[in-house]
Amino acid sequence: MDIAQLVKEAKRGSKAAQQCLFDQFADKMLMLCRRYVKNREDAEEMMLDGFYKFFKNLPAFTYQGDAALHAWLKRIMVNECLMFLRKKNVFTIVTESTAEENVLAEEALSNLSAAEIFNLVVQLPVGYRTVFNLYVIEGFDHKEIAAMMGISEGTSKSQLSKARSLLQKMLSQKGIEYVKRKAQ
Amino acid sequence: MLNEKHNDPPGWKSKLEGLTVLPGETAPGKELAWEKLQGRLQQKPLKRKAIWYWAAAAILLACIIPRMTANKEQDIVVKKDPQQQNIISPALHLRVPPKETVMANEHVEKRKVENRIAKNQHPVKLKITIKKNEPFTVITGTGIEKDPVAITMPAATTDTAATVAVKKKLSVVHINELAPASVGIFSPTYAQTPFKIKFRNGKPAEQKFASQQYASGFKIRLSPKN
Repeated sequence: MDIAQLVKEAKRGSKAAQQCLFDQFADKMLMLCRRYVKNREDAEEMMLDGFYKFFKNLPAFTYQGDAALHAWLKRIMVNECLMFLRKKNVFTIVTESTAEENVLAEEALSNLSAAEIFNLVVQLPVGYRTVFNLYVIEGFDHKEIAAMMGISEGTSKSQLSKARSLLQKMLSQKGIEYVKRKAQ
Repeated sequence: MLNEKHNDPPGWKSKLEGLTVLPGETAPGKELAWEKLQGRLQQKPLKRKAIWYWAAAAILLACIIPRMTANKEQDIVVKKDPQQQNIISPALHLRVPPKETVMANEHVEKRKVENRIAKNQHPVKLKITIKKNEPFTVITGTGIEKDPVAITMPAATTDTAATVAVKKKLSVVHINELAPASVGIFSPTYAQTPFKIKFRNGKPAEQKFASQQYASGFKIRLSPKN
């Protein structure tokens, strides 16, 4: 059964269709939540909250393709994670400074696996990580990020710049290790 | 947001979006998670509403009860010490018998007096005109006492009893106001001062009669004007 049919059935209240949709997206959504919320239990809770809202609001949703559904579900999950982080008040707000353009080393990045990238991102401080995720992975601009996080655009840019600098350092270290591993 | 160039590191987005499980980690228990989610979805939303209703009711009660108790306390204060406060509380108003009742009592008393008069057929009205530093003159209205009576002031002990008897009925006039302290009722000179009692027919009462009457509990009724 394709996603369109599943959505149609789920809108009517079919538990089986809802479970199929959940099974299809749960893993990806859990990984998304874990990129924002480091703790796995908290991430699972965020995912469940997100799916709860997804199924509750599904009758009002107009299906316009798989990508739209996926984007909507992602947006719900991101919002849940941001709400959680805001409640915990864990955003690191740093003083605004001119955003430096740090270009990550192309060569090092292309060699990294998904799991390595994930581990690198998760190691970032929560403020850097959130802005980096929202800007680089989710594709929001600084204005949107500022509105979502309750910070200024300058702060968002600054956080992203610092996140990139830190990633650069981590990648260079990773590159040395990678070279060492290859040499062996 | 999609049109903006985000300097995306090559392949990061696609790689991360395709990641479902980290190597070395066990896959999350989907069944367990689904059961949890289903449990939440099956919960009736009315419960939440009911909680809000209960909370609102509790807040309402919390607001009302202190006000009610405060009002009660105020009432108690008024009842406790009404004499000290010049303001008459509503509670005191309730205690005071209504004017109509008083009127009714007066009416009943008048009737009783009339009945007594009718039974005796000898209504006696005593009018006492008192001036300062002057002896009493008692005039009877249509009394049966035809003979004038001159009353001398009785002894101090008897006098006190008479004063008390008069005081009971009319507290406004005090005998001490009638003469200066030197010739007061308790002074020896005043005690010996003779009183003339006249009935309405103009005849003065005899001393003998007066003393007899007084000894047997002669009652002098002062008119309210005095």
